[in-house]
Amino acid sequence: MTGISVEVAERGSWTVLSVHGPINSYTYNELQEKTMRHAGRVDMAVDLSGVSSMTSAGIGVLLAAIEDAETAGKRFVVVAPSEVARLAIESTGFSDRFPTAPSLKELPA
Amino acid sequence: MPSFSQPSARCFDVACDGAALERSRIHVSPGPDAFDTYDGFVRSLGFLANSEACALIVAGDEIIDNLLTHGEVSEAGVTVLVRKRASGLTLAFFVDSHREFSEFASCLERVEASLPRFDERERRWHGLGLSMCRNVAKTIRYRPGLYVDRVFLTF
Repeated sequence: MTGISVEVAERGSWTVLSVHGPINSYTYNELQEKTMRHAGRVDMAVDLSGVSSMTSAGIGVLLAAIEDAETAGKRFVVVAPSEVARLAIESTGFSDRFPTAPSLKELPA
Repeated sequence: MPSFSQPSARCFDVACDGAALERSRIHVSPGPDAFDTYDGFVRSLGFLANSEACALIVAGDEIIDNLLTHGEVSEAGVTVLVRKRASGLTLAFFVDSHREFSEFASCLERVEASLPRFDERERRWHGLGLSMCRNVAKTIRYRPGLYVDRVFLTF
């Protein structure tokens, strides 16, 4: 089975989670664990450029992280989603809930 | 014929008559490898544009995710068919009949049942996957059967 990897790094004032692989009901736990650890505590960017597929299990994790960030007054950004990840986000019907940056270099200061 | 690393995957290409019909199918065994098998299959289909493959992956992964987590998929697994015609794409799933998936799939055609909602108490979303499928696909039809349930999505 192809799993996911979630690498955590600091970039300026942002904590960046770089996700690689497919996000589904079998794999989303690692993403959930790491987003819950950081969401609402720091400004968090989730790099989805390496995501090969994403079901609603992954979307739900991101939405929960966005809500935690908004509640705590922290920033949350999705970075460079792959084509499949972008379509998955758009298919929810409320992609405007997902602040997006085109690349890590273009994260707000 | 495309090759797959998963031994459980079998693919049958059907020769097309000019550009009139192109189709291919695969058998997906239940378990975590199902996503690799299905996604790899879709990406291997040379007759799909990249945007078409992405749509099939988003909607198809959601159907498979629900089949595996909410259904009772037997060892027989799921047969997936992709068909491309001038009129559009069809993605079909054939799975042994079972009640839990019937309950999920019967919601696919009901608009009011597929609006996503956030449950504050559980801190999780419900109906998100249904909404994603409906927004990616043009139509979704569920056809229960005595032995085989079928889900048809058109794009």
